[in-house]
Amino acid sequence: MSLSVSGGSLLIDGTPLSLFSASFQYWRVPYQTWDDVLKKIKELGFRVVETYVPWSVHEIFPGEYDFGRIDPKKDIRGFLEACARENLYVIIRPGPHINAEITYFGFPERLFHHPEIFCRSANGAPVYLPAVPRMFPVPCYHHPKFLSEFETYINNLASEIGNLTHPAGPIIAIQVDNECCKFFRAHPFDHDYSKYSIRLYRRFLKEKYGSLGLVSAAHRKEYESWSRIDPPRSFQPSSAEELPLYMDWVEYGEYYINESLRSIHRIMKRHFGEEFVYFHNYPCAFPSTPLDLKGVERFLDFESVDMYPSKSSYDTLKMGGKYVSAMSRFPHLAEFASGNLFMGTPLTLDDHRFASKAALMHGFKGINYYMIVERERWYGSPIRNDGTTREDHCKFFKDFLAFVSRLNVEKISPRRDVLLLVVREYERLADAATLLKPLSRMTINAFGLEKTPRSILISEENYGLSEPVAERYLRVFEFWYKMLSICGAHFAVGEVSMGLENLSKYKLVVAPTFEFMSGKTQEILLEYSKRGGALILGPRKPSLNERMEPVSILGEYMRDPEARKQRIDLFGVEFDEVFFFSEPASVKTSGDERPLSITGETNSEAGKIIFFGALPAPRIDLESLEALKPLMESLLLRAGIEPHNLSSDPRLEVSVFEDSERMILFLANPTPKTLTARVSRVSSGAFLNLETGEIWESSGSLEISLCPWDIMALERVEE
Amino acid sequence: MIPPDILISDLGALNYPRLCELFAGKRNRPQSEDENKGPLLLIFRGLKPLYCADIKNFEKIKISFSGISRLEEIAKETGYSRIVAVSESALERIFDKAGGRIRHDEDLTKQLAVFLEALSQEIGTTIFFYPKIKKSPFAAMSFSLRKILPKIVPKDAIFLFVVTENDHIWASIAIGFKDRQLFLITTLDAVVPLEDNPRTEELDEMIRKISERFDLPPRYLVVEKSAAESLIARKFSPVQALIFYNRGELKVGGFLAPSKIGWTLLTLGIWLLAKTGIPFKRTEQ
Repeated sequence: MSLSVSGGSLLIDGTPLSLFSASFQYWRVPYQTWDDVLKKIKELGFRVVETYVPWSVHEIFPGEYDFGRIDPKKDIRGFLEACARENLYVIIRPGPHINAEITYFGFPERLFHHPEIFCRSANGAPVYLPAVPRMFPVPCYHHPKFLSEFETYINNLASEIGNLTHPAGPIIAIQVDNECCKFFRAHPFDHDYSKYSIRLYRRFLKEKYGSLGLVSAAHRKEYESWSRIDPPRSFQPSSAEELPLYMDWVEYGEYYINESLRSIHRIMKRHFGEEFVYFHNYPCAFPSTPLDLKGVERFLDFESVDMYPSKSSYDTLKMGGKYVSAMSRFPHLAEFASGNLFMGTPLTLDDHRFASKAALMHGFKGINYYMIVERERWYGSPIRNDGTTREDHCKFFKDFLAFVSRLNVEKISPRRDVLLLVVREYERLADAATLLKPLSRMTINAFGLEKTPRSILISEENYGLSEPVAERYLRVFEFWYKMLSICGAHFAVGEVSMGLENLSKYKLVVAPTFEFMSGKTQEILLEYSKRGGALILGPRKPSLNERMEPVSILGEYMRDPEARKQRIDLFGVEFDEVFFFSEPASVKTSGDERPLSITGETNSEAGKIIFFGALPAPRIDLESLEALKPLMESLLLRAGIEPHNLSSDPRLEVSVFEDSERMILFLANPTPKTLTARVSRVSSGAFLNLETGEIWESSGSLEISLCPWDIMALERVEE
Repeated sequence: MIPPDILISDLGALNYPRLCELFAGKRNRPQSEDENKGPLLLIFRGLKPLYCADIKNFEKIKISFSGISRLEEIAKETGYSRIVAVSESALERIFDKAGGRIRHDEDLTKQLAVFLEALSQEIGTTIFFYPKIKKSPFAAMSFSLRKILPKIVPKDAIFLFVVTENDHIWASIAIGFKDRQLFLITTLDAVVPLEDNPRTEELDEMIRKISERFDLPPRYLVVEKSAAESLIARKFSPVQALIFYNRGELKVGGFLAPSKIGWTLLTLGIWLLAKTGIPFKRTEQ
C-alpha cells in the first residue's frame, strides 16, 4: 500500500488518482453539518477534500491543544473520520503559515512577543507583513525557538491523527508550509538579515565554495574567517567583478526559502513518517526567482502553485502552465479560485469556467478548488456554510469534473517541440535590479498585475556590464514568448535545472544570452546541442561565466557577425540593434549589395547553434510581430519541426495533447469577442467535442467559431 | 476599532461583484487622452534617473534629469502635468520606520496610521511631487485615523446599504458596530440569499431579521439602481440625491432625519444655492 508521485500523476498503490480536490475548512463550518456537506462534495464529483489544520486555532495555551475535546468544531479526527465514511481522501495543510484569511495567518499570537525570532530588514528593523485585520512581524523559520515551537504542535497533531494516514485512514498528502516566499517581501535586499539567517548564509557559501579562499576570490574580498562574512545590504556594484558578491546573496534567497521548507519537512517527517506524499505551493503561477521549483523537488514530492485567475488573466495562466508543466513532477494548482476572498477582485462563475479549462489546456493535471465550501471571510462558493447549495455553481463543477474524467487528464500530456529558456542568472540580476524595495517582481506577479510589462521597475543601470542586461533579458524573453505564441508553436517554458534528459525531449531550445552566463548553463546547452538539439542563442555571445571570469563555451560555436545596424525596422518590427551574418539570406536589408542573414548558423556535432543577434525595441505589439511569422517558421523548420496547427486568427490559440492512442485539440478564444478562424494543418477525420458530444469533420483544416472566453476540446475519433 | 476576530460572513455570491460593478461604472466610460495619461513616476539616486514611466500605462519615458528641484522642467518637456519623484530608498525607509514602531496587537487603523506617519516624514525628503504638495495630507490622515475616527465610530448599530431594481433586491452590504468596534461585515444574504430574488416588499422584514440576528438597531439607505448609477456618475451630487429622495428612489431609515417637508425645503435651498454658482455639481463643470 503506497503513495507516490510519478509520470505526472499522484499514485495510490500504483493507480493514478485524479487530484481534483475540494477545499473545506472544518473549524469554520458548524460540525453538525459536516456529514451533509461532505455528501454534497462527493455529489459534485470530487474524490478528495483539502483542509488547513491551523496551529493558532488548535493551540489554546503554549503546548496545550484542543482537537475537539473542548470545542467540537475543532474535532479534526472526527472530521477525518467523516471524510473516510464518505470514501473521500484528504490532503492536510498544517502550516505553520496558512494565511486562510485568518488573523495572523495561523501563527499563535504569543509568538509575536519574542522579537528575537523576527526577520530583520537590511537596517535591522522587524519585517512586518501588511495584512488585514492585523499586520504582524514575520518569523524567521531558521530560528531554533520557532522550529521547536512548531514541532511541539506537529507532535501533538500527529498523536491525534497520525494513524489516519493512508492506508489506515483518508490522509494521502501533506502540504509543507504555505506559499513560502519570504512572506511576499521577496526583494533580495529587503530581508532576512537576522542572526540566524546570516549564519545560514555563511553555511550556503561554505557549501557552494568549500573554502574561504574561494569565496574571497569570488567576492573580491579578503575574508579572515567565515564569521567575518557579512551580506551586502543593497545592490550597488561599481564593476562587473563585484557582481558575484551580490549575486551570491540573491541566490541565497532561494536557498533560504528551500531550507525553510526543508526544516518544516524534516519536522513533519519525524512525526508523520517518511512514506508519504509531501508537497508545497508557491503563491504565483510563474515561480521564477527567488522561488526554485526544481530545488524544492529535490526533497519534496512535488511543487505546486496557486492562482486566482479572472478570464483576462489568461496570459498569466498560460505562461504558468507552460512553465510548471515542463518543470514540475506533478503540475498541480494547490489553490485555484472557487468563490472569492472577501477583499479581492470579484471573480464570477464565468471566470471559473474559462480559467479551469485554460489550466488543463496549458498542462495542469490537478486542481484544488479553494473554497468549495463557503466560510467566514470567503464568499460565492458552490456550498454555503449552512450546507445549502448554489445550483449554478454546483452544475459547473459536476459538468467540469465529468469533462476531466472524459479527458482522462492523468494519461495525456501536451505535445511540445520547443522550449523557451528562463535563464536563472539573468532572472536573479533582474530581481536585484528591481527598484523600490521591498516591492519585488514576485509580488507583482503574485498579485495579478499581469498586464504590466515584465521589466516594470527594473533599473536600466549597467552594473559594470556593457549594457543593462536585466532589462534587456526580460525584453528578449518577452519577444520570443510572443513570437512563439503568434506562430502557433507548441512550446514550453523551462530552465536548465530540468536536466539534460528532459531538455533533450525538445527539438529546439531558445535561450536569451548576454555577455555573462554561468559556465554550467553553457555546458548543459552545448551538450544538448551536441546530442542533436537545435539552439537559438542571442542577442550576445557569452564571454564570461557567473564569476565574471572569461569563459566562452557557447561563444566558440556562435559565429562572428559581419555587420551591425542600430535602430532598424525589419518588416515593420522595430529593433534597437541587429547583427547580420554572411550566409544565404533569409532576410535581406534594403540597400545592401550582398545578401546578409540575420541568423548565423553553426553545427555542433549532431545539432546546430543559431545565433540570432537582434535586440528588439522596448515595446513590441503582437500585431506587428505577425510580419515575422515566416522567419519563425523557417527557424522551426531548420530545427526539424514541421509547421504546427495554425489558426488564421492568431488570437485563437491551439494546444495539442497526444499519446500513442489519443489526440486532443484544445482551442481557446481568450478575448471578449466571438472569433471565427480556420485552423489548418489538422489531421483529417472526425473530432468529438468532449463537452457537447458534437462531431466535427476535418479535411486537413477546421473552421472554428468560438464564443468570447470559451475553450473547446476536440478528440480525434475513429470514423 | 477593528477587532482581530472581526466577522466577515454571508457575503453571498452576487452582492460584492454587483456593488463593485456599480461603482466601477463611472470608471468604464471612455476616457479622454489626458485622463489616460500619467502621472509620471521617476525613481532616482542622487542626480541619476533610474526609471521613469507613466504609472498608468507603464510606458517608459525618456527624460533629462538634473535634480528634484527641476521637476517643473521635466513636466514641460514631457507634457506630464503630475510627477512623483521617488528616491530608490523611499519605500524601504517607510517600511523600516513603520516596522520599528508598529505593534502587532494594535488596531489596524493605528497600524495604518504608523505607515502614514512614516510616509508623511518622507515627503520632501525622499518623495517629491510636482505640483508640490505639503506633508499635511498624510499627517492629517494619520491624525484622523488615530484620534478622530475612533470618536465617530457608532456605538451600536447595523448599517445597511441596499440597491433595488424593478421591485427586487439587487445587492446589499451591511456593517455592524458594537461597543464602538466595527465587528461585522455582512449582507442581506445572512437572512435571505440573493439568488432567491427577494422582492422589495420583503425588505422591511429582512431588515428586521438581520437586526434581530445581530441584536443591533438598524440604520439603512435603500436606493434604486438607476438612481445609484446616476449619483455615482455625478460624484454624489447632494442636489441629485435630494431629488431622488423626494421621488422615493432613495430611502433612509433609522437615522435622525428631517421630515419630508424639511428635506424638500433643504433641496430647494441647495438648488437655489447651486443656481447662484456654488459648485455642488463638480462633475458637470
